[in-house]
Amino acid sequence: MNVHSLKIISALTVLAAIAATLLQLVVFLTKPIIAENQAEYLRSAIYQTLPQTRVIQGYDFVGGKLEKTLSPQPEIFAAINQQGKTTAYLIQMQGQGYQELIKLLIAYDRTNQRLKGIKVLQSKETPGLGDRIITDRAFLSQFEDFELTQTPLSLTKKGKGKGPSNIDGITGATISSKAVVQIINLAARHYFPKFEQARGEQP
Amino acid sequence: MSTERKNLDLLIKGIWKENPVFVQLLGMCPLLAVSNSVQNALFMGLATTFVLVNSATLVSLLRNLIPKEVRIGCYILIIATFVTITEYVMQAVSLEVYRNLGAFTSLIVVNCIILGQAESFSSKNKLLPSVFHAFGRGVGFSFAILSMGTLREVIGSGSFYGVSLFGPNYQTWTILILPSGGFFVLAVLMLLYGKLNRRAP
Repeated sequence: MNVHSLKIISALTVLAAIAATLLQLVVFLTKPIIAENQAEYLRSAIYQTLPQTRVIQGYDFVGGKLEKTLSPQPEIFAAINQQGKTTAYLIQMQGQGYQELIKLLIAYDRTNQRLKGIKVLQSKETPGLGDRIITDRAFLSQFEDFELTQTPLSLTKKGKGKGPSNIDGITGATISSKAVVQIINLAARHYFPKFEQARGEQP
Repeated sequence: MSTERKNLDLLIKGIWKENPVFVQLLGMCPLLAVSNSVQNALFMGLATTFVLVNSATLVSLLRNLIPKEVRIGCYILIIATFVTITEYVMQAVSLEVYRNLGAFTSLIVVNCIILGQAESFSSKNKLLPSVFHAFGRGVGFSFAILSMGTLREVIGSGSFYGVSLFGPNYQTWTILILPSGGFFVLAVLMLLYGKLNRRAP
């Protein structure tokens, strides 16, 4: 090995070391703040979906039972109102959207088996078209107090087909609204049996 | 010319006379993509300036250590480091802005204003001129993207930094918020810039 290639190797090593040190430092400093920001974002999303909520409690499924947890990232959250009653459980679920993953917050009332509302936590749908799944009131209000008699839910064109499991889509955002319905179905398949199983004990 | 005068000259050049956007047409991708609101434009401008100045500093300091054969790789490594730092800091400052900017924060790595700065200026000049030059160009880019963001948000959604300006009855020009609107506004601004500099448009 000649002197020149040694010089190249040492220069690259020094640079990589500088980069690694700087990054380590920044990650160390910002990580707690970022985690706090994310938790805060989730909390405000829960309060927006269920405005009557006063307390939020995290729960994990442990051996088929719901157990209270203090972990910053629990499996699900329970929204508790002023009277101390759990109004709904909040499930986070994600699925493929038109371009990127869509992340949803789904409020589920297990006593009455109803959806209490949904909120899009994260999405990169087309501005002006697909991103209306975040703001379109007519679409979103369908999930507020929706009785789940039949799952899976299916999406129909606006005004067509009225069934107990039908959701009206948004014109011009068919793929995105279909994705939302599919994510809810996914959550139903994954979590609802777990709720049924944990029904025995009332937290 | 004294050194201070020279440095100041470099700064002004980057902001106006050799504006990286309006004269050299560099950094078009973030300029068109995230100038749809004042907030996005402001944060993109700040982030780019931060990366530009810091990478220029490091490249200039290490310019005699970096072998010619691997210089581009080294510059990219330095730039990518500062971009990653920016990503973390931005998430800590505002998660909302970070989400809005999406992939464009990471794409600062390939912004040609920054690589161009490293390759054609910082690698050949001392620390101080390098920093002044980089800062000038950063401010120049921020100025350009902010003027685009202001025009697009004020006309396109009738607000400034999220604050509604014309009341609820304002008919928004949604086209300016969409990607095509970016091209229209850029064209208008470049025409204006050409006029101000007494160039044939």
